[in-house]
Amino acid sequence: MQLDPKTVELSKIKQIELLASARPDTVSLAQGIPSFDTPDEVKRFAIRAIEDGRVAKYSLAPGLIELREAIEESLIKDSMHYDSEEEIIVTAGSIEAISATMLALLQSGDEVILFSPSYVSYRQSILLAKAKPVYVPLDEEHEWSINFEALLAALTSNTRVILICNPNNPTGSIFKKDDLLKIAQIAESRNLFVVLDEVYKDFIYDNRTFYSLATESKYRDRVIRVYSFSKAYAMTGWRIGYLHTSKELARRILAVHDGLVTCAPVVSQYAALGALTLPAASWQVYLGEYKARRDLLASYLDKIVGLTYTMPTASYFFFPKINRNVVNNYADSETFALQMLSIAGVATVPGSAFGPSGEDHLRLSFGRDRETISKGMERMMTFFKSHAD
Amino acid sequence: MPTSLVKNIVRVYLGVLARTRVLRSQSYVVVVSGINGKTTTKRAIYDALKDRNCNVFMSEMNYNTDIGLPLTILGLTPPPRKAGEWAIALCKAAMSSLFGKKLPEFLVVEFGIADKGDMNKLLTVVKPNITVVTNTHYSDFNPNTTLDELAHELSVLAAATSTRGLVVLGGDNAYVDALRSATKARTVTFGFEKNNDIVISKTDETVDGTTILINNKEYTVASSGNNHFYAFTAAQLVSDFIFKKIKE
Repeated sequence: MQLDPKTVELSKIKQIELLASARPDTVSLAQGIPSFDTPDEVKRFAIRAIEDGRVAKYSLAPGLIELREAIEESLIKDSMHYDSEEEIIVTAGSIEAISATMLALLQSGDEVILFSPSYVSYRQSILLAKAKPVYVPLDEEHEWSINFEALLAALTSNTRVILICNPNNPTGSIFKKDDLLKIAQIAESRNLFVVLDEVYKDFIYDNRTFYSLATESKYRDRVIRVYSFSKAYAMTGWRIGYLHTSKELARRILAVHDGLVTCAPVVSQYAALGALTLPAASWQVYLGEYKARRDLLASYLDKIVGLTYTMPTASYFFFPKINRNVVNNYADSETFALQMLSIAGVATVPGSAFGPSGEDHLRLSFGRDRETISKGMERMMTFFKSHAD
Repeated sequence: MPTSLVKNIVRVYLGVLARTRVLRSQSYVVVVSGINGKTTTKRAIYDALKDRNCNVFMSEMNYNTDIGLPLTILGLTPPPRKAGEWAIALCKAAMSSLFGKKLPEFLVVEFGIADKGDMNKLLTVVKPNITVVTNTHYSDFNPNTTLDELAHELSVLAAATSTRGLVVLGGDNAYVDALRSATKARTVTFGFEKNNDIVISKTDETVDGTTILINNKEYTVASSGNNHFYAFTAAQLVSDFIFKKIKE
């Protein structure tokens, strides 16, 4: 049997990382991995669970009840009220949560609205469910906000889900409360589901308040919210996250989650329980460092003539635009990113990976330490000097 | 010195100081234990007492072990991260215990049990005037302890409850009779099953909450899910008992 190469393929980010790993002396600003190690308290929680012999067996499919209760408590602090027993599912990272959700909600031929640009791997999750991603361009001129005219034009009788990454990866922008409420109203009137991926909700660098549709009890029957411990707790390798939604939807998603992974890794569930006991103050230290890294990377971008950018207010990504008129022999963002990798030894993600509106952009991560950022950006500056007028 | 010995010394030291602070404050203690639903129930009791304008202390998050419980009572959460910080924290613990501000009139704390003997360690820190046992059933958290052993731990708690107090028991499980017979205090069971003293039934669910009947009296609970209905009912029983006591 032959697999159709047009359906599900490895994401561009992972492809770039594979290429980068094969090239000696490469500096990677590609993958969104925090440079920090998992906090010691979190590791200790996991170690204690291993030593106590608690991790060898499966947990219940939705996760350890103790963890779900701790998640419920943490959600209450964010004004979200979900029942730990029936409305919260612990997952193997956020992408498993999203894939399980897509498989549970969609049938062949259904359509999912994806804002463009948005996170690369959503496409794979949608294709896995044999559904079709439909890209709706964001308005770059207005801080990558939602273009409702384009959104309404993209809706068809096959549309089932609107998937929102907020704060948005790769643009580092936050969607406004009014816009999100407008989306909820559209979803209500058209009987659509709204999937919220809020893994970067802790990475906000100014004073604006983050708003989640999951705080609205009115929409709980159609909103599925996804969160991951990967980013805020530097736990990407633990593969642990969760989703919460209404009882009925949770039951449907749980059946798929069970079929995919049985349960999230139990040792990681204990680590997540440890993460939830960390004081809020400890996060401020990390946030301060990320802000300093953002400012450092911006100081380099300011010196590169061929790139223009919007300062990210959230996440840990820049998404600068390549000036076609300035860069010599420019074809597209993918060719350009590959050139920069092979010549300058800097891995970045081509903007086209994030949807059609991402073309002519690059995604740069400032999750890496300052030394790596400086080294990568120095190389990038040199590369631009020799490839731009 | 072996780590386990150091840990034991710290545990006993903190336990004595926390107990001293509670005794000095003469607080009325409500202990919430069981296999799950403890934190939700603790918060519901706290909210119910606050609604009646009581001055209440609630133990933080899931600080419910023989180390975590004293830390929260002594106001030392989050726990120190480094050895040097621990030394300072242990000094602060003594100050808080002996000279610190008295705790409020009501204390609502959580007891977590994972192994045999855990309950006796926790009872050296505080003794309950009122005990709430949410339930006794299987949990992934206690894979090395049998249900019988966990039920025994909970019966130790029931037995330690003040004879003038109350033991509130989640009744929809097989261990309720064993727990009831372990205590000399007044007991009350609650749950959806008809044989409970206080019977809960659901009437209507909307996006704004669920209307439940507790012994035919109607209440609206904001959150959905049975554990919230259990927690709400336990909280009503605790606050009603306390207020009857005050009136007496």
